[in-house]
Amino acid sequence: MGSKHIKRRLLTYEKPWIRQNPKPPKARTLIGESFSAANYQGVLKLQHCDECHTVNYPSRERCLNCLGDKLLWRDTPNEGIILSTSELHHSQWEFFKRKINNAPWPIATVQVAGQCMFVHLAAYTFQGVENAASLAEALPKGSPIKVFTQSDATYKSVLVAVSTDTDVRQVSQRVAIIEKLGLR
Amino acid sequence: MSNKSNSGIADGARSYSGVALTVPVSFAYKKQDDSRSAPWYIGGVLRELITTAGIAKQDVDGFAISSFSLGVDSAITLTQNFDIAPRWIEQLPYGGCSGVIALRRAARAVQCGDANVVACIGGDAAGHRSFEVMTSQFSTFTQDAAFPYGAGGPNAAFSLITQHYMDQFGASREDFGRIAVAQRYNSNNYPPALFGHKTLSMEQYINSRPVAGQLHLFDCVMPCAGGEGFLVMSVERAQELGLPYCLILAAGELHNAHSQDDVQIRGGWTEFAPQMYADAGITPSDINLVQTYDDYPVISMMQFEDLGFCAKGDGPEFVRTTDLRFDASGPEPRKLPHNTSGGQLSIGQAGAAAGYMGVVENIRQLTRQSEQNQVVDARYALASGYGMINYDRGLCSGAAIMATSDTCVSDGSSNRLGGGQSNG
Repeated sequence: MGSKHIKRRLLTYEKPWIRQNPKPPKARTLIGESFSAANYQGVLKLQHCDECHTVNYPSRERCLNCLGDKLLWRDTPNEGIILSTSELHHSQWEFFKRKINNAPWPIATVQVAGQCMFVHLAAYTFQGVENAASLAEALPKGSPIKVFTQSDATYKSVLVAVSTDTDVRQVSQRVAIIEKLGLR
Repeated sequence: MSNKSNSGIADGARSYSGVALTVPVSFAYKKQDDSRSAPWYIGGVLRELITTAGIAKQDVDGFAISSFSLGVDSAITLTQNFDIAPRWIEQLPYGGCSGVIALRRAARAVQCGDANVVACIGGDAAGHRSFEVMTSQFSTFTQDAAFPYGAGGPNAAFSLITQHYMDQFGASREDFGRIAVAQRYNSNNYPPALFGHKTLSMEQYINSRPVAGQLHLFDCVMPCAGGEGFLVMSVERAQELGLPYCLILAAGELHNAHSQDDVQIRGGWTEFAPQMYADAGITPSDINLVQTYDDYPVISMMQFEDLGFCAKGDGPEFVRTTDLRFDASGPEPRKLPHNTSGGQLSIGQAGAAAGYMGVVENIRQLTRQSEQNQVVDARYALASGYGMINYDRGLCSGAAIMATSDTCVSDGSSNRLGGGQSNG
């Protein structure tokens, strides 16, 4: 291991709080990298099984239904529903710790194309969230949402949920949301 | 999802008669320790197991371990580390279900003659920041599709499950608080607990700082270092050695059950629990004490429901009307001592050792080796395991019903005494 490697490891794991510009987690497995690469273009690309047409998420190497290995990255309808929401007041990762110093970080699980997804929640795009007693009250299970992918500060594609009336068809629109969330 | 497809031979195959669980060891719990790694804890438990049992190291011919912090080491590398020569070996990476699964595997090994004395050990170190590193790389799905979203670790996944459960079944934070507060009372009577010296009131619970969504500080376990272990051997061997022991009446496991549920509200227990009680010849109301896997109170509540103590969705009502203290000193009418040593919420979560905690505590209780927190006259005890949050839910579920050594155990064909009545 070179000294550069060791220094980076130290900064990432041992003393992340001395980083000037902490970044979101960027470590992915190979198949996670494929998800990122496939989603550099388009709103949402997920793995569709070529044999049984099952949509797979989280990304994997064999279809969860038929175990076939021909999984194609295809544009996927991005509308879905909220399963559950949460606001993080604590994080393991320096980047989010500093975000949380300002305000709790909203996340959700959503169901899109029949699959459960963890997402960053762009809460400000939903009407009535600011005045509601809690995120869960404003966005109960079944609330309609839209998700999109966009690369964050580490060039990894991440999923973001927005209200159904938010337009995310253009890259500039998606980047604006990512930047407003502070992910870039 | 039937677990009784071989019902023709299952009656005989299911019985755990003739197997003794003995020498409960809880070892060296510590908040954080950079100077020691997992082999120190696992080896420490092994040493305590053999010295307490009065056997030689070579007598341990079965070796089952669980640990999250072994790194490149494994059960097999530890055999050279400890210079042991087991003829049966298992490594069980099943987190909070490891103990129950180890018990089942080891019992079968003893029944089949593959091993005479099996040491089942969970042990984990807790180095500086080791928990963060572990949660960030816990699994492929975690790394690719859960951790990047706020890096909340298990707190994030369970806050989502908790929120959903509260919305679905009308549970309140007070309901979860009842579990945490009763466990703290139990740990106040169990000196090794890391929080044993601190009391917890409902007011403190409610006013604690938020961690994730509805989860606040006292809903979360504290990662720590420590080890848990027990020995599995034949009843005859335990009697020869003069060791107090207890028996397994029935056990079951089912993993990744109910994958069609969009958010987890139940585990595999729902599928095997009826058969487990039938095998044991008892009902949930006969159980004198129960150890659930309490990584978060909502999971304990699910286990009450799925293991038949109340119906699905009645968990909140159940904890409102049930006294969960070990000594039945609470005001609630129904009594069910629960997590009698304080559970992970009040002892600390020593990685995979936490998955052994329930089994070890039950052995301690049933062999009357508990001290201040002894449950009086307990005969039937249940230990439940739950583990491995791969993505959005825990995948493993397992449970075992254990009984005092003077209990009648069916061997499938005819009833016979599972063991002598002298030890107890």
